[in-house]
Amino acid sequence: MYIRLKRFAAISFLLTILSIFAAGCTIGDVRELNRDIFALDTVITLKVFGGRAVKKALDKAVDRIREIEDRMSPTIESSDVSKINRASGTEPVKVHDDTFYVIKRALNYGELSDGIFDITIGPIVNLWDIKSENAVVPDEAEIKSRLSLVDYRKVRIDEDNMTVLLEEKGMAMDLGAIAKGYAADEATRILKEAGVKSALLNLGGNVITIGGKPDGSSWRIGLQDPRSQETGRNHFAIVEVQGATVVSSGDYERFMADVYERTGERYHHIFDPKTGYPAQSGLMVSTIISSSSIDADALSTILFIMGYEDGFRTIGELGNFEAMAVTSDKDVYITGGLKDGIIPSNDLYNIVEP
Amino acid sequence: MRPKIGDIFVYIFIIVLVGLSFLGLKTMGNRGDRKMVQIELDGEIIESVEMSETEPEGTTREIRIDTGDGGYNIVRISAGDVGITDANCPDRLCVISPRINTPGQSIVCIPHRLIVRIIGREPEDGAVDDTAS
Amino acid sequence: MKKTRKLTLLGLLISQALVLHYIEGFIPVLAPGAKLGLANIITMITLVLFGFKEAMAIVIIRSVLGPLLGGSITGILYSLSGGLLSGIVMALLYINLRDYFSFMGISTAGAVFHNIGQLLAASWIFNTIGILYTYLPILMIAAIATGYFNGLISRYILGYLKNKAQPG
Repeated sequence: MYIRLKRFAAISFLLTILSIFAAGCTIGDVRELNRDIFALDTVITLKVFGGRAVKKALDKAVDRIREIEDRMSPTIESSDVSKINRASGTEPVKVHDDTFYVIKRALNYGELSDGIFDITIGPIVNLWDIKSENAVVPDEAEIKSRLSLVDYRKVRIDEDNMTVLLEEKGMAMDLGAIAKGYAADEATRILKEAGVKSALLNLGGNVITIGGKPDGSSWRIGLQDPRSQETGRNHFAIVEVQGATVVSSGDYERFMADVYERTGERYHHIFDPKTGYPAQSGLMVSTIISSSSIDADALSTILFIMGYEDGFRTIGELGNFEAMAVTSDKDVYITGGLKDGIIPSNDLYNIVEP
Repeated sequence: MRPKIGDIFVYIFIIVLVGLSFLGLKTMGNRGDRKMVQIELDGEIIESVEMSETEPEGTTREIRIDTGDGGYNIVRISAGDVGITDANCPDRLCVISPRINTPGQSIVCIPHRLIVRIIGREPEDGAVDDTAS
Repeated sequence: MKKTRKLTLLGLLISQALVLHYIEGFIPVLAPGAKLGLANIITMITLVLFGFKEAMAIVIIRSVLGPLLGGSITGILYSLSGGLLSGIVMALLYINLRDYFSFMGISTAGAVFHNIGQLLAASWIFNTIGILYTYLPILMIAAIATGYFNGLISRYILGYLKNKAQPG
């Protein structure tokens, strides 16, 4: 009697555990996993759909993003970028493969944009210090003197030894305009390698989609209205994408709010390396849609600083990219490929047919 | 082992409860305006508050979130929207961020590692999966 | 039963309840809140061997100490509300209506009210009634299985004690 009871108890024990598992799993076999982290000086959210193996891949992607932050953040003492900045004007610094790759790509974009995209903007960024509480507009003479330290051609890279040198003392590198894009590409690669077919990542406003939604439809990505505080609207338009990345640069993310309230002058965080002042190209936002985040990240900055005409010409020559440029008159210029992909959602903005 | 009469009542009770909660779920879904404000600190959800547009005026709530090391953010939840009204973070971007009102939107305070977001079941027309900014 | 003997036995039962509570932490659960509730076995046994007062004492001590062993302070609120509600219901059923219920039935009712108690605490903490609707169905179905299982174990243990080690 006891033995039979024991066996019965054992079986029902197993059944109980199984039924609990079943209760947890049967809420659709595509599970949604979410992760929010703070890294790369911003908030990063990863939403991944898939089976059981996804959790591991998600952890790996998060680890990779943190690794990139550890190597490329200028605020982390031990990062490659900090080492390069400390050794400016003295000696070449050996860096990790990925840091080298990102710097090389950034320098390519420097050439391509004729110095509009310049990772040696560090001294200007530090001078303005837009992020801090008591940011003030710096002295013009001070800006001029710092500007002499900004020149991407003075970054000497050595492919054989994987070293980087800033030729002049006081130069400072800031990969902020491209590291997020690289991190996004890496996270995407890791998730795809693990077989993820559907995911939505957001790295501080850079949206990356893998595939479509679990039901196969396209992701609807809203494009931040650059004056949402005044218009009360969220988006200037919506785009539908699959497996693409959507990256915007704009004058609304970080700016001196108190100065703006007093004078209407918007001192924002995207600096023109030619002037040392926040870029004044007549654009409020630039947006790039592409399959590669690192390119989209760099190109959105380039388009924003160059302005609509020069920017669209440069992007047109590259091919493979779609772009949007929103002028301060709330005109939205788009490239040909977006004609059918963009959904007007805000009547305050006028979409100009290409 | 035949179940006794009382056991059957227990099972009937369970079935009734499950039925009732499905009924509750349905009426709640139909209301459509059910929105929740979720406050997340350093990756952990520390506060979930239901908000409703039908709530009368005067039901505005202010929640003070202590983010450690003397940091704080004041989250104001009123009928229809949510915003951060005060904070002692260095950039105070969260305070100047526009108030949010639609599921999927969020306000973030990066220095304090705080996220305030609205979640809800039924997205409105023109809703998006995410916003590029 | 001698006082010392009773005290020793109760102490033993508390530590058993705590160990079960602890072990349960290692058994993965996928539905939040859907736990085996192994500690309810001890509540059941205490109820039968000693009575209402002693069972409640064990529930309270276990609910306070358990989360302290490995959990959070809010965990106390959950396990206390769940444990007390389920303990009271099981006691009412066992003391007044024991002829009409099997151990499995009583234990299932206990599991049901354990979950209801926890959900009430959760909806109070999170300030929303919504949790109740969403989780109740899953937890109720889990309660049928866990309650039956725990009732069976209790019956087996009590049967064993009756034959081998007549208490007091």
